[in-house]
Amino acid sequence: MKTDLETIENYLTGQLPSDERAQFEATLRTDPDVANAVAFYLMTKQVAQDEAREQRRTELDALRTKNVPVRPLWSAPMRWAAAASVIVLLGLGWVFFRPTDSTVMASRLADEYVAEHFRQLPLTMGGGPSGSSSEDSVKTAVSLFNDGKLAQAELIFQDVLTRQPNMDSALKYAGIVSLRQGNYDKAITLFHRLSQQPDLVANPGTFYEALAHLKRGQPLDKSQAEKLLEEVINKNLEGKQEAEVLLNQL
Amino acid sequence: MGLFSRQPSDADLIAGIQTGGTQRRLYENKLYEKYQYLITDGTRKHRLTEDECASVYSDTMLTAFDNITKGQFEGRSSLKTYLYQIFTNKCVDAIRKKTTNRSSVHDAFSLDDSLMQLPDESRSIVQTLIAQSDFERLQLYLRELGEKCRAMILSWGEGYSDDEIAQAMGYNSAAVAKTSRLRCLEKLRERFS
Repeated sequence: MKTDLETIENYLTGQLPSDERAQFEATLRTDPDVANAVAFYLMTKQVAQDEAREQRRTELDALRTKNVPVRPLWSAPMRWAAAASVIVLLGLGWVFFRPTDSTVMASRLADEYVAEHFRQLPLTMGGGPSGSSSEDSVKTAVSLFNDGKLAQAELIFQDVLTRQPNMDSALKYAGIVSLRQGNYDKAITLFHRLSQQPDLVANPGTFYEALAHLKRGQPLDKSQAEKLLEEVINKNLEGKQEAEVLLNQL
Repeated sequence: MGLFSRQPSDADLIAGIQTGGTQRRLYENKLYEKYQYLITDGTRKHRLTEDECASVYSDTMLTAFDNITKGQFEGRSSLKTYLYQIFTNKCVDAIRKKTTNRSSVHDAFSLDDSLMQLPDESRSIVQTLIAQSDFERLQLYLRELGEKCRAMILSWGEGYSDDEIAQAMGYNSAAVAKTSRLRCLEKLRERFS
């Protein structure tokens, strides 16, 4: 079957053995079906490339609207006027400023939540027995996190999880550290593990997992995040109110 | 913006983009943000509006991402100089386009280099077939494919390997991702033919 796309791809990427390559080229010269199939493959690749580029351009444009650069040549009164305008407009609702691209917008929503909730962690919470060494380690790691020493905090959380793989506070905080460090794959894994912990009075694992998907922004992450947010709402899980707000804005 | 926005070095950004996989887009965005001031510079130095400059800047970045990913940026100049050069050339193109109402030669449709792999006589046949084909219809059908198929084909178009696609989309291996991708292409072909 010389018209099958796998053979064509293997030929064009130099993966066919030389005898098969020669045979393919001979057929290509004489068989219009093969020539048509090759033309289709090349066209599709080009169209896919153009489409991907256009999609990426939209994402970048949205990134620009998110980070409008400061104009240093503005006079002080102009800067004050601009700042006042921004405050007034923000007061009217950020909805007027949000970028139209949904992937970047989703990432921005997640950023806002992270900025508001994951800058400082409470020292009083714990998932292990009070006064235990794991509990103490978690507190130490939380202090380091609050001091901005994320890498050191991460090491301690990992150590705790090696000893107590299901300790909910360690799972939660290790996930938050990964999220803050931009390590979204790891954050998703940790939050998912947290969401699977039974018997917790309040379990934010599913909601946090949705946030990590929004931040990662891979092709199917937005739809996955939406499913998780719906699950949070339907099952009345921790983060329900925030999930409703996020879903409305996505 | 503060939490995720430490200013990485150019070497880190290049390495991050070339690592590919899930990190590529993150580092591309960081690179975009790092040199975003070129837009403001462009509006001062060229007779272009901010929106026009922003469009040129996005084009510059897309070209740079592509060249860095393919290893075509060889580091003979600093990344900053390299970007500035591309950006300036594209600004000149944009001004020319604006003043003469003519597109730049760079806008011409250009097929993937793989076409050059075909033997001469076959290449001209395939080129003719392509020239006679309806690109817009193919584009429309691609947009109408299922979300997963479309995402997979676009990732392929963007130069992601099957291994990277497998990681991003949760397939067990590159081989499984390749089979799924080819199945999606087959679906598109059936519709197109």
